[in-house]
Amino acid sequence: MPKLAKKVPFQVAAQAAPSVREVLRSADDAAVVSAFLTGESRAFDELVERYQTRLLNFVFRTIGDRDRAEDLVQEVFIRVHRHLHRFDRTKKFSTWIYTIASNLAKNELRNRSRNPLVFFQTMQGSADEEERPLQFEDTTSRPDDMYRKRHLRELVEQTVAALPEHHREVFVLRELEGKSYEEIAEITDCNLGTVKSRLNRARSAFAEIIEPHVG
Amino acid sequence: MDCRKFRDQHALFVDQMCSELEAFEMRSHMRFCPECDRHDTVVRRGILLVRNLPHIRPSANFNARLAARIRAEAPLHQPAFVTQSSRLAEYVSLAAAVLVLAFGVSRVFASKQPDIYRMPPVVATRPVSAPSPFGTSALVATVPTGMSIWPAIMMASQAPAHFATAELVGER
Repeated sequence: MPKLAKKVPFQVAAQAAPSVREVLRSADDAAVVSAFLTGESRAFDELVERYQTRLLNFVFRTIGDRDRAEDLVQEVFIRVHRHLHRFDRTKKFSTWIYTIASNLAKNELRNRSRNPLVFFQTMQGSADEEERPLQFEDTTSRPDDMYRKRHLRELVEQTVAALPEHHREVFVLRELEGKSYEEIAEITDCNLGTVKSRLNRARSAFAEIIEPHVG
Repeated sequence: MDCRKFRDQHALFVDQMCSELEAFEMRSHMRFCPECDRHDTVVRRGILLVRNLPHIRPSANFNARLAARIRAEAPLHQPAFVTQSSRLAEYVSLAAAVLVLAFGVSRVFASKQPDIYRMPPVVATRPVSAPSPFGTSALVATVPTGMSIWPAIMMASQAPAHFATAELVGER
């Protein structure tokens, strides 16, 4: 048997037996969670890999402060690591992790409302920075075009940030995270009717603000 | 369909979650109501803009920071798989401790006499019952015979004499 193994080229052997990471990458959330609970610590890295960007965007759009959003996402993963053995595996993992993120974001907003000065300062700090260019920003286009698009993006972000908290959360979960109405209801702990009405109002409010700029 | 109903159902319409009939009604309404038609267009454009917002990425040291925090946290909060065997031992030892404690407590309570306040005995005298002026031995003797009518007649016929006796007893 060892002789056979020696004859098999490394790449072929690697293809025949995919690494743990590859297996985890192709597995669904439930399988990755199970792997973690049975002692495969790399499964947690896979969960972080899958959700860090999504959660960061969700929290950032909800609270409007990039640095704080990153801290909160770290806190989300810490809590997941701490409490994953208590997770009800009949439920969807993504809903659970988004619920944790949503609750942390709500707490953050609640704390800020008690201390508006901090809120203002953090918003000012995060308004200027943006590492990644717009997806619809073509670098070959003319400078005035780029300026107009950047301005539009900022306007869209400001408009999202200006929505009332409850409406913004539902709006972000639906439009940016692509969650179903049922998932949003579970994450935000609301009934389906409330989700529909909040989404409707958020869309209308957003449309009213943005209309003069896109009309 | 009126404009209010159109606005109420618009989210479902945009997400293609309403029935065919409702969608038909919505489209029909838009044909005749330029305001709602405009609303639909603006909402859809807005959604398109939001969905095209750029995604931000975690900073370069995000994973390193997270790993450090988890390492620092590990002794405090072990994940389930690390402590699965030791947790069983914990449960067993906890159950044993509870049993020992319960046994000890029961022994302490068993050996200790309960504090009972003993009151001095109350001496009571049986009240002397006055003889009934109506209950004569002849009347009592007739009751078991089942002839309940006779005691009543006898009692009625002897009533004046009984009243006189009662008065005499009261005077003594």
